[in-house]
Amino acid sequence: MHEVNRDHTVSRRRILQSLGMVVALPLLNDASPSLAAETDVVPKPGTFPALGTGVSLAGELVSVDHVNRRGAIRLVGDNDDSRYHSAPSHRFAMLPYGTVRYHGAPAELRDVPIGTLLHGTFLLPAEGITAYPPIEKNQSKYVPAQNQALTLEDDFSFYERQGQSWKITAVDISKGTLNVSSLGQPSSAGLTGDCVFEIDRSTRVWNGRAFGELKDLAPDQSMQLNLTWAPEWKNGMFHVADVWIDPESRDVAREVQRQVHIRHMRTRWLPGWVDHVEHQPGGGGIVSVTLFSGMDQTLYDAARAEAKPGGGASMAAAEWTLRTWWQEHDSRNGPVLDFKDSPNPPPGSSGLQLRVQFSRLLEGYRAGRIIRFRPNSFPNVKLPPEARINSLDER
Amino acid sequence: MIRQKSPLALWIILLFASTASTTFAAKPAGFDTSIQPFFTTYCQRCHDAQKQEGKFRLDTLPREFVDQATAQRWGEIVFRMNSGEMPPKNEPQPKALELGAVVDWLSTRIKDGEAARLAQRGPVSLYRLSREEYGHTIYDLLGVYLDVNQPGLFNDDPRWHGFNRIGALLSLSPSHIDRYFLAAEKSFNLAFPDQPTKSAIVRRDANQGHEILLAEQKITGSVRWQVFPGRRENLMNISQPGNYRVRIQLSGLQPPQGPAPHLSIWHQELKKSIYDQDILAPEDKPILVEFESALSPGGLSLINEVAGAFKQQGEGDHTANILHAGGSVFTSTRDMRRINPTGYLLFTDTGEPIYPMLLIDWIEWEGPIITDEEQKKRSDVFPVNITAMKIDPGEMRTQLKRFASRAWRRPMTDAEVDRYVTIVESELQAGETPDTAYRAALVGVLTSKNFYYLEEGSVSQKRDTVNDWELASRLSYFLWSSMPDDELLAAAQAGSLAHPDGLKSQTRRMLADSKYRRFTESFPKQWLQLHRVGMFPPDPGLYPGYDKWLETSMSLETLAFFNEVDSQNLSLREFISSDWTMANPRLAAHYQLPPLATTGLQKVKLRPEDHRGGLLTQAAILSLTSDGTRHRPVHRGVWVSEAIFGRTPPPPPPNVEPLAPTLSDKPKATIRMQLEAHATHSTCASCHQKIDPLGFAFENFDAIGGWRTEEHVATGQGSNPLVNASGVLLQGQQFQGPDEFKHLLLQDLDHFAEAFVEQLATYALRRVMTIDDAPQIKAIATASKPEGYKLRSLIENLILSDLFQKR
Repeated sequence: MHEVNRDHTVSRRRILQSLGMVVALPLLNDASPSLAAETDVVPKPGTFPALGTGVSLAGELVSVDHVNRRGAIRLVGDNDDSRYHSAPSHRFAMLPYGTVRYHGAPAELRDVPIGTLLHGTFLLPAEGITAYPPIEKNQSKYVPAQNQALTLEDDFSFYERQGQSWKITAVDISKGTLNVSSLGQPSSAGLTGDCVFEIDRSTRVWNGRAFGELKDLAPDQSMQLNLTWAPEWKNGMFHVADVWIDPESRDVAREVQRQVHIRHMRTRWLPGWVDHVEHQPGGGGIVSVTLFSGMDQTLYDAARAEAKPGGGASMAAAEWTLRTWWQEHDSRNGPVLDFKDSPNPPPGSSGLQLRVQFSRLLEGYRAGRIIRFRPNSFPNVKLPPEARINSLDER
Repeated sequence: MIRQKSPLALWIILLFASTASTTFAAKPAGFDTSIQPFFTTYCQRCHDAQKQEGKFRLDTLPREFVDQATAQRWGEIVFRMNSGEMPPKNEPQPKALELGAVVDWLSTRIKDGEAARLAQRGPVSLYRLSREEYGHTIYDLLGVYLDVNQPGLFNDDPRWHGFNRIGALLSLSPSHIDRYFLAAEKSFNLAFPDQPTKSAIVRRDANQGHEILLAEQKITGSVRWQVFPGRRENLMNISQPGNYRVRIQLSGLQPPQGPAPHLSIWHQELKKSIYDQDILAPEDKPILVEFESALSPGGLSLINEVAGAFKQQGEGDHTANILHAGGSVFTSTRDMRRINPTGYLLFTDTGEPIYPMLLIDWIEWEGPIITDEEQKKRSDVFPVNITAMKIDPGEMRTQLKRFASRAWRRPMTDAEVDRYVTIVESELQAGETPDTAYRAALVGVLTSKNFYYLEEGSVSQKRDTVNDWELASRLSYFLWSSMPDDELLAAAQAGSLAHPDGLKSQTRRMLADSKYRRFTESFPKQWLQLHRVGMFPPDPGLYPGYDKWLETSMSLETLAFFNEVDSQNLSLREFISSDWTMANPRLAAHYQLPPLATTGLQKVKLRPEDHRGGLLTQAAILSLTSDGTRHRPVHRGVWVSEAIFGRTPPPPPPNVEPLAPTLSDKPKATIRMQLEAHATHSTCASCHQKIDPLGFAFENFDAIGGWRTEEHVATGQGSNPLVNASGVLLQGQQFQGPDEFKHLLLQDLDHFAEAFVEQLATYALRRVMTIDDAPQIKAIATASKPEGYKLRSLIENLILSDLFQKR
């Protein structure tokens, strides 16, 4: 037993290094001034962060406040006994332009089951924003200061985006182990090379358009998987929650999630922020907005399509959490004058900027303020009460 | 020496030779030569002794127009001729001009007859106090503000060509008696309340109650009420009626291309504004507004009253209302963190206002304020020795007599005192306390006809002039719209009013008194018919810049203009043409004058390119003759005729087709073009030739008095047509635009002066002037000419004239 543990320790150190904790650990210890320049990025309203800023952290999703786009992850184990016993979970808030991907498609936190291992990029709390979670006075040394999520992805999305997949090298159902080896372009953070994961009858095997069984797992299969907590998590052990063993199964999962996302966004509207306001006499003006990234392309196309005679859009004032007040009632509608696509936009930006004419402007139409954009082809519906903001103190 | 008539004078004479005078009742002259031949040719063949068609004989109808029944018969004849019913189609038809001349002649006589009836006076003439005069009289008698405009107290007084103090129209009905009782009781309750009136200072501060929030949110500064256009802040509540001193600290921010913010204090129960002022003060340098006003109980709202207001509270404009809900507080344009983002954007990122904005820090009101002078007015009304148990009979009698003599504006006789003492005694016998019994007698004094009627003449003595007491009241109600004060009554008692020196001395004293302000407000309102301003609110779609404050400013300009002419004792010619006016920033913007740096009405120098000056080009005058959608040249012509020349043209014939909108496939046409087509109709042409030029002179002004060079026409083909403000008077004088028209008027000021004296006398004597008064009116005007028709000279000369003392 003692021997086994020692073996695990050796193999899992390598795993942890692959998961990006090499970057995270020095930060937790606040011991690497040379890295501060690229990791101590403070987001500013109205400005997207530069490419490559922020720190990469991975952990299992342990709580979600999906209405406010907040949650907490338990950072993956790093063989530190003290941290194993006492570290609090890492509470985070999504940046307004922060994106979530699940099953290889755009998603919201509400789409991601508790227990899913997520890979993310995190920035320091935004300037002038007092939103949750605050940096506590006696912040635990195990909790990184970077608590504003720029990206969050499940394993499926994370590895597939980077061109990495897994090949089964061995399966032992009786022992509950799955031996894999990475294929394709090695991910910049995360696991690569040979790994051993736990499996059991709770593992969902996606096979074609249906669920399969453990016996469908066979050596040399190319697959994607989603990991979750396992005993010995301190030493980097993971359980396989889902495994996709063929391309069709991955397409099915991706498309279902994409449709979930599209349905959600058509009623919640596309988030963005105000770049500029051109005032006109009488209280009207032209508002330029840039939509945030991470949404399905058909939604951006719907926005672009309104830039025509008779087209138009509504804009609701929104908060840092992307929540709106009474959007179907308190938004203003006007014609979309034109749009512009910028190549290579910074993280968080879709690169799509639209100009909308309004007869009267709202307080929320100030440069840097968050809005929700509804192309006229989207439904104008009332959101459920818990989704709406009712007072300034709820922001 | 016979004065040479100017061309315009000749035209005026011609114009009104056949139109009705508003006032001069004339004997019907010229019937045989002007009318009878027409009747003989076209009418009497059927309506004579033989045929009596329709059981009507024209040959025996008296040629008399003062008798009401006969006048009505003549009115019926005019109606039937005008409508084309008579002569019947199968009978010989008169030419249009023939018919027009006869209708004109008869209409003039009918109007003259009406004037004579209105001016008829018996041995005793009774002139009921107008509602406005009643309120002033109660204040001067008891030192209390009775709000006569409060709902349920008095009705609006009937008007005759704008004047609401014509005795013949101010009749008395049982409901009046009931209201006089109510008003008298209210007045005494105000003067002698059951509980002593306690004056207090109440303050509402915008920051109050927000201290903790500001500290928690680390917001510096104090909360201010941000009052955007149309916003109502219901901040004041008055529980006791009386005079209040109101103080408000606030800023007023004007957008770069918009009007100044406007503070209006709206009385919710009376549904009228009690204070109006444009406010200009930087955000960081608020000003203090302070004023005194008589206030009735009720809630008051502070409103930013400007055009383009958001919807009012309760009208469903969530975007406006939310700016004051959901925890929003405003402290500074530099910190908008606590403003709800779904509300309208009111300031740019640099703090520049997008709309006219009021930022109110606090409001404070103090009152009811009772001055020593007011207290003194009611100090000797109640006997000193009155208690809950007894009243001193001798003192009661003395006090009653003193009070009633003041209230009735003449000594109370002993017999009259006896009657009121009897009231007290009967009340006491009925078990009332001495206080209540005495109060019943006081109410009786104010519900006596001797109080609410001005009585002139006597049953026992035929006289053609007023006596000293009547003269004192006539003078007092002319200049003060109220009862004579003690000094004037003393002059009447002493008989000094009967002498010109004494009368002149009292007149000058009264002109210098602050109560004279009542005349300079009331007379121009009635003379110029300013009650019609805003009667037909313009269509917001056509006139989006029109708002309540502009409407109010219009009347304020005209009143301030009159006041300036009066206080500076300027000539009447200023009413026709002037190189100045009284404007506030709102009007300056409306007139496209250079922006004014300060708020409030101020004397503004006018340039020729401003196209203003005098009364006729003031927005109030130009708008009161318009309806909600368009200007009305004919109405303008009639107004000029009435207000400037004192003549009312005959009424339009019945069944006149209204002007139809231009058809969509026809070229756009101005109102004038349509009218000119209309006036070619035989039954219309004769009148319109006289009236229309007076209105066409002001074609450059739209329905709200804005300057224009083309007329907006909603329907039809092509571009909007240019306006045509030229005209030709009957005698051929041509004018091109309002300036030349005014120049023509100035060439003959004498006629305007006479017409003005006639208006002044109508107001002063509370009756319609007749042809019998014409020589005296002319004499008053003539006496004022050497001094250049200065307004004060005209007023003094009227008061010192025989006409003023004539019954």
